[in-house]
Parts: sequence; C-alpha cells; structure tokens
Amino acid sequence: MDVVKVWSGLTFGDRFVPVEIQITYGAGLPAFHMVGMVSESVEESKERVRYALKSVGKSIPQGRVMVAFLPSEVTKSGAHFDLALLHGFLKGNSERLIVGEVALDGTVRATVQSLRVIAAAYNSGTKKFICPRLPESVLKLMPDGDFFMVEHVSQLLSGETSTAVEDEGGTECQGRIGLNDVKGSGIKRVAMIAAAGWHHVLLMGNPGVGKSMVAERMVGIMPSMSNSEKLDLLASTGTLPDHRPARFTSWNSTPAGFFGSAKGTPGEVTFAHRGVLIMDEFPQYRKDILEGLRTVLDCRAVLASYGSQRLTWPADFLLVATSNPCPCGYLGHPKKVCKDSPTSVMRYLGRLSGPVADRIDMHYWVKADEPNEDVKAVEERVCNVWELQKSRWESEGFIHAGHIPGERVDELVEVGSSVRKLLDDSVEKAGLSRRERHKILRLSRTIADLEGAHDIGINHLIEAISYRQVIPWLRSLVP
Amino acid sequence: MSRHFSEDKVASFLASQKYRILDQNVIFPTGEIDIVASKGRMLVFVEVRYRKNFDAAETVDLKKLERIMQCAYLYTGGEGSYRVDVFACGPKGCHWYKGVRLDGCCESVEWLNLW
Repeated sequence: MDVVKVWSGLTFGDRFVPVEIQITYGAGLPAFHMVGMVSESVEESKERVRYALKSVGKSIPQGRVMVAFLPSEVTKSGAHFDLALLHGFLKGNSERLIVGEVALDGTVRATVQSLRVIAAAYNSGTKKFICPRLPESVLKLMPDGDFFMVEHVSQLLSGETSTAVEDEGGTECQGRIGLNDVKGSGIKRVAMIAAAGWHHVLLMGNPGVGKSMVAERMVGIMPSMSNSEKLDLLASTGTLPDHRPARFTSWNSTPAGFFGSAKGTPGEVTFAHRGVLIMDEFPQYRKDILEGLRTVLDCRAVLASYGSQRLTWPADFLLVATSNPCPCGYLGHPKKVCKDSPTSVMRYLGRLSGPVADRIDMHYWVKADEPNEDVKAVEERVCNVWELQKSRWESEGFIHAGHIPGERVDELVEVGSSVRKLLDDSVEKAGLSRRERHKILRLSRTIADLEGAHDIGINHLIEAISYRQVIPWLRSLVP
Repeated sequence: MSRHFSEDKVASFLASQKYRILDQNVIFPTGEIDIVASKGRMLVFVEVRYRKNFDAAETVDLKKLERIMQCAYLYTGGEGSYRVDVFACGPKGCHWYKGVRLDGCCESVEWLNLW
C-alpha cells in the first residue's frame, strides 16, 4: 500500500510536538477522511485544500482518501496543517517540516500558530522548513534555518522560493520612552533598580501621582531583547514585538486570560515574558489571579494541568504593580483626609500583604511632591548592571540578582560581618520572613552593582530594607 | 416521472454482463431502488446516479446508503446473499462501484464507457 508521509507539528505550551501526516488511498465512494483527534479547525482544512488544489488545476484523487495524524493521542488544532496536506497530494513525501495555512485561491499564509510551531521546532533542533513568507525580523532569529518559503501553492510544483517579507523600517526606537518625563527622583531610582536587577515592584500612592506612568516606561530603560529571548517569545505566543513587551492588564481579567487556557492559548503572563507585566490597581484583581500569581512568580513559568495535558508556559516577567493605599485613595495624603473606616482599610491592605506582597521585592510609596532631580544615564547604568550580573552568574543558570534561587542567596551574595549583623538585627526586629531576608539581600546586591561597588555596604542594605517598610507604615496610620 | 436514460443504459449493460434484471424502480416506504439484478445466487441492488457537471459519486452520502440498505433488507427479508452497487455516471461515462458498504468502502471500482 502506498502511503505518503509528510511532517508538520504542534506546540504544547512552549514544547514542540512533531506530527506525522500519512495519506493513503482506498477503493470506495469518494470521501476524505481524517483520523487522529482532529479538531474542527483541522477538519475544515479539507475544504481549503480541495479548492487550493483546484487553483493549480489539480483535484483530490478519486476514491477514498484517508489522512492520519500521528501521534493520534494528541488533539490537533490550528489551520497550519493545510500546506503539509497539499504537499502530500502534489509532491508526495517530504523530509522538511511543513506549516502554513492555505486560502481558497491557493495563497499561503502564516498564522500565529504556524509562527509558534516554526520557532518551537527550531528551538528543538529542526532546521529545514517549508513555510509561508516570513518577515525578515523572524528569519534573523533563526540563522541556521533552511527555509523554503512559498507564497502560492504553485511554487510547491515549480520549486521557486519566495523572498522574505521586508520589515518596515524605523521601528527600532519607537515606543522606547525613557524616564525623562517622569517627575520625582525617588521613583526614577526605583524604576532603575528594578530594571537593573529584575526586581518586582509595588508602587503605592495617592491617586494621580504618576504610578502607572512609570510602570509604562520601565521597558524603555532595559536593554533590547536578545535573539534567544525573542525566539522564546515567538515560540510561546507567536508574537514578535520590536522591543520588550509591556503588557497592561486589567483587574477584571479572568484566570484563563491571565495564565493561559486549556485550549493552548497563552495568557498575559506569557505575553509579558522577558518584559514588564503591569498590574494596575493590584488589590482589585480577582482572588484566584492574585493567588495564582504566587507560583508563577516562584517558577517564572506557568505550570498547568488541564485534564490529561501538562503544559508549561514561560512567564519570566518583571511585575510592576500599582495600588492605592486604601479604597478612597487618600490614606497618607499630606492634605486630604481618608474617609474609609479602619476595617475597610485593613481589609484593603490585607489583600496586599501576605504571600503575594512578600514575593515583590520593592514596595515604594510615590509622593506627589518629590524633589525632581535628573538621574543621569539610566539606560547605560541598567545595561552595565545587566552585563555585570550576567557575567557573574550565567554559569549558575540565571542572569539577574532577582533570579537567584532562595536556597543559594546566602552562598552567592556575600556580605561583610558588620552588614550581616545589621541585616540580622533588622530582620529580627521587624519580624521579616526568610524570603523577605533573601529579597533584601538580592536587592542590596543590585543597588551595590548600580553604584559600582564591589562589596555590599551598609548604605546599600539600608536602602534595600527601606523598600519593605511601606505597608507597615500604612498600617500604623490606621487608627 | 420518466426514467433517466442512464438507468436503462446501465440495465442493458448489466444484462450484457450475464446479469438477470429482476426489477426496475422498485418503490419501498424507505425509498426507491433503481435496478434489482441477480447473477447466480447473488442479488445485486443498483443505485444509478447521473450528474452533468461533477462526480456523481459525491452525491451518495451515508443517508442515501442507509436507505438503499434498508430497501435491500425489505426486498430480501434479510435472507440470502446480496450486495449494493453504485453507478456514478457523467457525460463521458460511468464509475462502477462494486459491493459498496455502509462506510463507503467497496470491493472494486471500474471505469465504463457506456455511451
């Protein structure tokens, strides 16, 4: 029996699953059967394939066509199997990985899913592809790849390859807004430290002091994305931003939209991978999102089980959360009076403290009347710290101070005896947890690096500790 | 309704192949059988389809096959051996699907130049 074999693939979280497509013919009334847990979107490709074949003057062979997708235990979804089927009908076997959606007139298109499959397959070692025309920026990420790009199905027959889609010029610097228009030297420093050492930030303050504005500008001061970071983002989300992603999320997001869904669509935390995730009005978020955030912050990935599927999504984002101090917003305001009852304030702050706030490195109180000094050469200093920390810890498997695993903080961040004594004293006095102690150590390492100091000094430690005092201070304001 | 010329052509073709034509256009509550023929002990129920513009075989779906099978059952009472054949005709000729099963598979396909 003649069986035609072609290859395509699926993504499973950020994992690549190769899919073998076998096509065979049998005697019988004309029919086009597909087996192997194919979902609606794959089933529809029958019609697309039928008419695309017509566009090059061919038709599906007479008789019963049987198509099997292997491994058959995995659900196949997405429109990117069309091109592989067409290749099977027109040209027969192929060693290359084939992805692409086909329109009725025979033009080949790139879907989000096909970009994800290509990137994930490249990451796992596949180098030869037949695919739609890809943008130059995508091809640049995969220098070893051998791409046979087709714009129209007829090119499968003629063997002509298309050129890459040219990028629109001048996108490099767009959207990179620095901290220049931010008022207040303290908040600029916080943004700089957070960006330099990959420390999560919680910005608190009265309404209208510019919390969200700073959050938005954080990506602007980070170094631009490396190729492997871009490839990871492309493999898991199918998007390729020009610069680091800054994802604004809304407090009425659902857990599926936030962490990814069982259907295999990534959530906001994955779209913000290696960029900034902005959570405005942090305490207003649904309880299940705030609780779910804990494990994501710890693992820097979403580990999800839906029925029989186990998925992993990368989610190494820098969390920038903003919050008012109380429901009315005016607790701690120099002139206005907070009108909330003590219980409602305590409940509001209660949502902030505890396990989630514990995992956020820096808490900062944004004041309206901060002195505004220029912080010079922010981008350059952040970039230097990135390089310094990367060279120091890359062999250990991480590149930021904020990524040092808890059990190795004491070993990797060395402090002098006087500094250690101060740390131990303040930890004991304030009743800080071990995790908070580690956060302080990591933070003081970044601050010392920013100042160009080799050893962590007392002043660096004190600054780091000061970033943990906002919530206790707010509590003390409540009568 | 008058019989389509293709049905007569097929019937005379079958006769030429040593088939005995028992009945034509037998009407049952569940539908109609175009030709009932026999060869030896084998009863053959024949469905003839004609389409000018496209492959007539594509119009034979599961529902149609089920109806033919039901008619065949009513005709035979479920006894004896029988099979269902489909003649899918177009302006150029006919495909003869021999021994079609409910899932659309068949024993063999033959191209006939009947007219």
